[in-house]
Amino acid sequence: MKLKTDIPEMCNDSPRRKLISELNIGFAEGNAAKVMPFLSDAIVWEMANDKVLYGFEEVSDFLEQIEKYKADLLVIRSMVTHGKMAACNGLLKYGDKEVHFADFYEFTSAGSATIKKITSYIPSKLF
Amino acid sequence: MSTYIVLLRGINVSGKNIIKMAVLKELLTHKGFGNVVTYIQSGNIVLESIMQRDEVRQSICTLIGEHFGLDISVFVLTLQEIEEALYHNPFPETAEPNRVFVTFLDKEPDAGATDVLTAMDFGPDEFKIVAGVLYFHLPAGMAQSKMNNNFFEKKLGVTATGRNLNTVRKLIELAKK
Repeated sequence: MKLKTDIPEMCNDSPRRKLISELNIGFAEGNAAKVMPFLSDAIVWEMANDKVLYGFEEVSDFLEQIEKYKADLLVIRSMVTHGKMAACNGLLKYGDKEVHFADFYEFTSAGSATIKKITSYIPSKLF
Repeated sequence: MSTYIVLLRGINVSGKNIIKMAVLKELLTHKGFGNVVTYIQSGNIVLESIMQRDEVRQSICTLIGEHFGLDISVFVLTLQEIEEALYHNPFPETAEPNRVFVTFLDKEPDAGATDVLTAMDFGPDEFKIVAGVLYFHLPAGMAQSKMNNNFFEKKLGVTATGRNLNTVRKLIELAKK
């Protein structure tokens, strides 16, 4: 089933917001190839209360393991960008299961399109 | 027919050198390589061929250039070579496998450059070169470290590509299937 999205117009009104929208679409689609080019070689992905993934290879391996999980719906509720930081929250729907999320992103610099750290807050373990 | 492990340098990172591995797999199969398997997005391929190593490397470089328009360094290893690289890992078994990197070099680095690097203080991070392969261990992770592929390439005057221990083990497993 093709992913449905509900993404406010304001989430596409700058290159960085668009990047974060695309990243979340890639994740919702279970598409590692779409997500990985946004990340740095030294990416750290901290999933609060769960695990921390270190480096491009570990994140890539994790995303390929969960490629079978494809969301039906991605809702982005709000997005904030400032300097080298950004944040986004929303909802993913997998069948009957709804997963609310809040992610914080740190870019390699204020003008960069490469993410070096993601901190994810998810109320229950996603996978 | 020989089994080769092919490592592509610096693809799909930071928005550069984008190569969709699923597309590359199809192209390699179409080109006549056997049992092509790719692993994650960092450019790891296991395949079979009747060609010699240099022919395999050249063929893949050409294919990537023609199809993706990219000039990518390609490393072609035999199963024995990658197993030996794992065997020679100089860091303790207790080191976390995602913090130990095995880096393959296109040539033996200059001894003087290696000595200069050895004399530098990297805090808890360590590197060692054993049998032409560079290993580095980053106990606190890559984000806080000076050491990475580009750093070693610049300091040692080589072209290099590295994988963590988990990836190296996975590639050996795939090559033995």
